[in-house]
Amino acid sequence: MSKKILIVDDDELILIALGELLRPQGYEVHTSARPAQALERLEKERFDLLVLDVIMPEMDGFELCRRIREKEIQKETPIIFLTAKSRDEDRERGLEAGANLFLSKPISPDRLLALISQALG
Amino acid sequence: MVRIRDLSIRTKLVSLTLLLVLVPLLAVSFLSLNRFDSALRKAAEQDLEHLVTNIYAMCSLQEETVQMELGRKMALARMLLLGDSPRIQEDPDRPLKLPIQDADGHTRRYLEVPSWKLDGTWVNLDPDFIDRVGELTGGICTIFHALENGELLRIATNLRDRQGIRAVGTLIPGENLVSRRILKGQPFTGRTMVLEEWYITVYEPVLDEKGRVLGALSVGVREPAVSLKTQVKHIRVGQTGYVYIMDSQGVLKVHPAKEGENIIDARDTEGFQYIRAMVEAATRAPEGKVETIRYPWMNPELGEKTPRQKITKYTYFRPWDWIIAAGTYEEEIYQALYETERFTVAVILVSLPLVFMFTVGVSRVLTRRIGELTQATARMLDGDLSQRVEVHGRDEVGILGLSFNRMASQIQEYTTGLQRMVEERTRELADSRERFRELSTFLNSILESATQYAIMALDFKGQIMEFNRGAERLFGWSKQEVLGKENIGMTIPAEQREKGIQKQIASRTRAEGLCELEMERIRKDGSRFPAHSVVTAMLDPEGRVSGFVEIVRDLTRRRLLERQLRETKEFLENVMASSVDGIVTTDLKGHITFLNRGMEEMLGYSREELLGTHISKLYVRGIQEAREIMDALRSRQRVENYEMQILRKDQEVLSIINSASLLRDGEGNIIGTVGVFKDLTQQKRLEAKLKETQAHLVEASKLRALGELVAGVAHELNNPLMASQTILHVMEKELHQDCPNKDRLEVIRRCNERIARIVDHLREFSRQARPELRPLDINLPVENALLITGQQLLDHQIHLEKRLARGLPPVMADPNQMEQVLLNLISNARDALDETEGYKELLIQTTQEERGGSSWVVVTVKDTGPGIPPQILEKVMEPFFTTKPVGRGTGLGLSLCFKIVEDHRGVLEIRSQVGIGTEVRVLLPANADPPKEEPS
Repeated sequence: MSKKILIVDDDELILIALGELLRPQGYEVHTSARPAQALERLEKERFDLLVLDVIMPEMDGFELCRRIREKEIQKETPIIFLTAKSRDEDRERGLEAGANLFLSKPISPDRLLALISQALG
Repeated sequence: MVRIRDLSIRTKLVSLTLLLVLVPLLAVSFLSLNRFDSALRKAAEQDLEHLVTNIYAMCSLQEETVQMELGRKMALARMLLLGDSPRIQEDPDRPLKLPIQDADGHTRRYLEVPSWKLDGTWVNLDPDFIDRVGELTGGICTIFHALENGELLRIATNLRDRQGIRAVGTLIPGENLVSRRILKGQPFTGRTMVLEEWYITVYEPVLDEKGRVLGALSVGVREPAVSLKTQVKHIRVGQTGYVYIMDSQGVLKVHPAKEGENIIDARDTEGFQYIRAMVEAATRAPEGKVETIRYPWMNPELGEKTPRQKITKYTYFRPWDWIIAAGTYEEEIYQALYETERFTVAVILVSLPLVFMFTVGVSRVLTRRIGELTQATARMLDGDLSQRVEVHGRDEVGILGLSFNRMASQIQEYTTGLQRMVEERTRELADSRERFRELSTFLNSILESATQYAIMALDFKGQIMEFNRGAERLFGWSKQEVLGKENIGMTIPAEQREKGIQKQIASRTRAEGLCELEMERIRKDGSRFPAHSVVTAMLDPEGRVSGFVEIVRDLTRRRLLERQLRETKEFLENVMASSVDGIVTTDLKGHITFLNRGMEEMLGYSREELLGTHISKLYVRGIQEAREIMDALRSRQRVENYEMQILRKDQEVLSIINSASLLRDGEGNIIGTVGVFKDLTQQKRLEAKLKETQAHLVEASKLRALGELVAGVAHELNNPLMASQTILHVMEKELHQDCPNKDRLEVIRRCNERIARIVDHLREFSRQARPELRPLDINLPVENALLITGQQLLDHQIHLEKRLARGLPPVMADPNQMEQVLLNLISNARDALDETEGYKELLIQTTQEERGGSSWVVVTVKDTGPGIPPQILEKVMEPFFTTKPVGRGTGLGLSLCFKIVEDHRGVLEIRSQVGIGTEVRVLLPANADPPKEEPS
């Protein structure tokens, strides 16, 4: 059974691009442009991996990550931040919020694929 | 209590006489009665005793007679029975056989005893023989045979019972005293009851030849006392007394009424067994001794209700076992005694009033004339000086009367003279008293109406002698509480008293006549108040100080007003002194009466130079201007924002705004003017500078906008760049190796790479490179930044306050980066100040500061903008966080500053308070060594 990945980013181009990149690899890719909507989906649905942007309207990625981790069924789900932010403090904040990996945009597609595959175990 | 010496002579005389007569009389009567009484009592008792003794003597005499008679009869019987030499032999051949009777008279058995033979005659076998002996002796004659068990058996007798039968065969028991004596060979005499009659009997033993007791012989006569008893029974003692005889068992032998009864258990009215006591005492007493017993007795059968004392004398006649008693009621034998006593008392009672009347009569005669003198004297004392007494005779009383009359005349003369003098003096006194009363009423009303003043008179020790209503009100004590009881010291605090303040006041008052001082005083409730006090000395007629008068006034209210006034004054002076505007007052003529520090600074004159000079001296238009202002004040009461020009001491012209009004005193009278001068020169100078530097500002603004744009572009490009790269990657993977588009996609890929490089570069630019550190005076970049932004600040109506410390230690810093930090901070401050409507000020300050053991150079940028709320203040350091509208800020400014300062090992602090402003401080280590090269 293919792995389910949810990507949350307010930039539609990113969602399209990542979908294009990941689907051929056999992943079941879901996207959401709004953190609140994503949070609602995560209430019932299980995913094998979450990819989050940081700078988003309504709610930033750190906050979203914390809320996800509060949910019992998402305690163990791997979370990767993929963001334009690149400073060390951002990296620390991301990991503190409960993420497994913090990646800065732009990143080479090969490397991203390798890291996602690794995160899914 | 009446004292003896206060009694009248007559009373004394009467009392003395009565005493002298009555005491001996009563004493003699009492003593003689007592004597008489005891003698009579003794005599009466002796009568009773004699009676008993006589009866006793009679009994003794009779006893002796009986004994003698018995002796004779026994000798005769012995002769007749046994002859001269009694040689009785027992003859067992002719035994005697007898029926034995018990005491109850029933025959129980027969007994055989040997018969006695005397000279051939059988003594106990011939009854006639015993009868003959009886007749000859004239009594009872009996022969006993001694049995072996010690009993005596009657074997022959002339005694017969009522049936005429001889009383042989009866026994005297062995334990009987008679048997025991006989068997021992001794005789016995005694009273014996034989066949219900008392006999006096003599028993003698009968011996055989060998002296062995064979039996006994007895002779008895009937008791002879009958005649004695009859005589005794008739003896009377007094009215109801009598004599009685009883034996030691209490059986009455002789008694007028109860003969034969046993009265051993008789009791008197108190329950005492007096008969038993008598019996016991009588039998124990020596022979012939008379005993006495007294007991209360009542004869209810004779109708007696109360017991009377009875006296009984008694003695014991042992031979007959008789207690002889003679008794009567005591009152009967004492009858004569009582009568004598009654007579004596009657004599005394009759003589008493006689003596009294006699004494009273005699004393009246003796004391009458003394009484007259006394009464005359008393009347004189009541005021009747014309009293004289009649003189009788020449005895002591007469001389006294004469002397009295002479003395009375003299007193009358003196008194008349004195009366005249007294009347005169009284008139004079009344006059002066009237004058004094008026004065005193006047003074009192002053004292009492001075309720605001405590007025007190004190003696020279400070004791309060007068205390007016004001004092009551002020101190709280009432007049009654303190007058003559309390010392003024209680109103003076203890610490003052200990310092001897009272002595100081007293000595000053003595020396100067008056002492005035202010000190704390104490009320009754212990509270204190400031007081003003005046003490004056009171002088006696000789001019010596006899006391003090103190007038005290409460200063509490005055002190309070003084303090309020002082505080108000200080407050106003503070206000005026701290004002940057000039404040000037003048009198009505325009002379300067006051000016504040602000005015001094504005004009360059000192206060002393200006006080008293005319205000117009300061005006450019001179006296004309002053008149116009005054006219405006008179018509409109005040002048506001009046633009005018004044001259500094250095002749520089200042443009000012003047606001003036009139000064009035408490009654509303105009006493001068007050003017407030606001310097407009500084403001006008700033306005000029603003215009001058505006151009620079525009340029700097463009520069900054470019920086912001670059950073924003770099960030925003990242997302599309990444999407593009990703899609390109996917496409490249899917294309065949020989697809002609592959080369074209390669071109796109190279384009992307170039874009990525440019973005990277832009990022580098916006983030700045690593600082090039060198020793730097921090004031340099500050001045440079201000040079760039100065015009801009002026354009935005921002007042710049620049306080740059000179001689600060150098810091290790990159001048360009520092400049950029400051440009950013100033730009932020400017933006903040644009949001506020009030006074806009930007403070740039450089200082040196010690913190955490090291030295820091500090640049402070502080604005008076709206301030930052705490929740936003947390985020201001974050890159891309901005509160500014789109296009104005990238959210990079502060974070960049932070990064640069951090690179310099410094600290950036932001403090902000909503409504007050924001303060950003950049701290850089002073004299810092260049940081080591960090690996990139």
